[in-house]
Amino acid sequence: MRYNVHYTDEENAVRLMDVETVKDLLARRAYYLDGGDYAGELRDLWVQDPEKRKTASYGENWGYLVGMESLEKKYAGRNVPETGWGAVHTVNTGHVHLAYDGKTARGLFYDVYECSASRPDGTAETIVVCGPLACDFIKEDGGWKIWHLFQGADHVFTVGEPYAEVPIPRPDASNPVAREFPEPDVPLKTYDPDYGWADNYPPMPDPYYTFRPEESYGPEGHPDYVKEVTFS
Amino acid sequence: MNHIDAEKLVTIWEDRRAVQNLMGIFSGHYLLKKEKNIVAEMFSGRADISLGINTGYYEGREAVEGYYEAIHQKNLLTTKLIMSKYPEEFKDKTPEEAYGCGLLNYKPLDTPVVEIAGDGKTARGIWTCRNSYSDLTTGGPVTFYEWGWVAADFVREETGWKIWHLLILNDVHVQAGLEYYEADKPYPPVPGFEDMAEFRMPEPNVKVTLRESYSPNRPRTPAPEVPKPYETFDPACSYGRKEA
Repeated sequence: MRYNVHYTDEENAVRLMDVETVKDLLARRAYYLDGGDYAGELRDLWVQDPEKRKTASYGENWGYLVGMESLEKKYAGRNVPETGWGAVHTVNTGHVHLAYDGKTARGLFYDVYECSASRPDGTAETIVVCGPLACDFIKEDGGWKIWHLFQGADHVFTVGEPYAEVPIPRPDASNPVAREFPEPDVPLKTYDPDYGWADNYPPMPDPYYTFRPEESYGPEGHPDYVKEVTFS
Repeated sequence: MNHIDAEKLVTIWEDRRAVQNLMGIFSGHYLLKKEKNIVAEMFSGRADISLGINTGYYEGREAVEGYYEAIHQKNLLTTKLIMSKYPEEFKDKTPEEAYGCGLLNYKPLDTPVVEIAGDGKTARGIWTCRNSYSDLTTGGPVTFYEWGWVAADFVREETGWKIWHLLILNDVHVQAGLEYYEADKPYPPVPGFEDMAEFRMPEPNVKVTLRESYSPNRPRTPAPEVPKPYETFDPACSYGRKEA
């Protein structure tokens, strides 16, 4: 949908820089991940507003963590060994739409990363992961922040193992990324790489006027999300 | 964010784009085997330019020029050996036309974070780099994978933004076909490529470990510092060697 909205030159300049800033924000996240600093990422880059903290979410193929308290406990609480651990995330192919009201933005990127961890026998396991990275951003007093983030995994290669031998469909037990994902607050088969991108999740952002949860990259934006309602 | 007027915002946006374009061209120079032009075309004219790699800094104009001149000499040597080895394939080519044959090195730069100084005179940026390159060895062509970072201080000059202090740091450098913790395994010598054994890149003139490559014994190490908003250049926050 297109909206007939007119902006002044100054508003256009701000919008230009807003798109640049949200790309910058998601790029900065990669360097926190490269150092295994998940707590620092949440502290510095994610929403601070108390109401937005309640609805912040992080999703992977197997569901969502919801609320900053959950993210701080489960996402930032993941074990990152002090020795023999390394990672490099390369984020690219950004596609961003800034809401016409200027309060939020949505972006779809791609992340190709490697992550190595030592084994007890003195060797190491390295995985290479390729997957979509989708984000709802929101402008707070302190600037743009991450609100809902979805990090999908398309391909998960273990270096040194023939990829052709990976079973299809791949059991979670054989998937190093699945093993690392914490117990989700909203369990959901969000993304099934066995079927590629045909299901269009996470969807490419379209031009939009204002944020709506059902169009978000949080759980409510997933087409298979069913809100639990308790009748008394 | 403090209020910044529209003209200033657009200038910042254009400067960020110019810095990113500069590094895109830098990346292209590796792909097109134009390394010998990098210093003259992309670096500042200042005397105090530098290039840092995992094992130290090439500090000063002469050292940085020496680094890229060595790559040029390697390209010449490789071209000569490959043309000699495969005369039929190169019978219609001059050495100038075949320059750089058999080599492929592309540094795709992702994940940009760029800050333009408040005074507009300098900039700082960092990128991630997921690189693969093919090299000629005494055992023939070999491919290597690299995962790491490229970061730089930039300075605005009359002809535009230029590189001042450059860092190219690898977290992983591994021969294709090996696990990420394994040392290179040279292939048996191939007749005609013996001269590659004589080629050596110059050592950094300031030897210091800037990045220990990944190993199962390495302590967890943060990524290189990511630029923060700043008003004016501070040597203490440089991608060149920090002053003591």
